[in-house]
Amino acid sequence: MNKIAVGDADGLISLALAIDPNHTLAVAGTTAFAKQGIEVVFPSTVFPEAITSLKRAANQPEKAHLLARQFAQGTFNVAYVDQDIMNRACEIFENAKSKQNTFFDAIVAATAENLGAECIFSFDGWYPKLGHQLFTTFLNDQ
Amino acid sequence: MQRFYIYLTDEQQKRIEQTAQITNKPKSEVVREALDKGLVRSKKSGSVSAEALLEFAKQAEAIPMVGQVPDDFVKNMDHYTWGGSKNE
Repeated sequence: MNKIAVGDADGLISLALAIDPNHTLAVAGTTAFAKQGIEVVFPSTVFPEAITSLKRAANQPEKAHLLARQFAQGTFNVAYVDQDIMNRACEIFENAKSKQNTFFDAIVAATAENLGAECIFSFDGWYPKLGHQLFTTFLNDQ
Repeated sequence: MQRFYIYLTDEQQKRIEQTAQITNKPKSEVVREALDKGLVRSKKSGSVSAEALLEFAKQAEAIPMVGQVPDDFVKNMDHYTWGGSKNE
C-alpha cells in the first residue's frame, strides 16, 4: 500500500508562489514524494481555502483559477469531507488553544488520522503538537 | 455486466477500501477503474499525485505574478485572507 501524505492549503499555495521562502522546500518535498511513491491527498476543504486565499488575499487570480481548473479536471487526490471527519475535526478544534488554529486545519488533522497518513504537507507548527509529522521531518528521517 | 470472482490479497482489499474512501466511490467502481487503467498501461513507479502537484507548481510558476505579495504571505495566510493577528 502506498504511503500517504495529507496536504494543507499552505503547502499548495507555497508550490504556486515562487516568491514564498518555503517554495523550494515545498517543491523538493513533492519531488521526494514522487520518487518515494508517496501519494498526496488533500481534504476537499483545502481547495476553497487555497483558491480564495490566492485570489482574494494574494491577488493572483490566474493562479487561483489554474488551481480551480485543475481541481475540476481531477488532477488532485481529494478526500471528500464527510460527517465522521467533521465530527472528529470538531473534537480537535474544541481542544485548540490558539486563535491561529483554524477549523480548516482541524479538518486536515482529522483527515490525516482517518487515512493513517505518514505526514502532513504543510509548514504549520500545530500539527506536530497533535501528533502528526510535518513532511520536512518525515522526509529527513527517511 | 458480468459477475467475476477473484481472490484479493489483504493489501489489495485495503487499497480498494482506502481509494473508495478517498474518492467517495463504491468499491466496485474503484476496482473497475483500476482494471481499466491497469489493462492499458504498465504499472508506473512513483506517485501520480505528487507528479501532478509538481506539474501544477510548474504551470503556476509560469503565470506572471500580479503586483507584490508579502514574503510572509503563506506563513500568515489566515491573517492576509481572513484578518486577525499574524503568527508569531
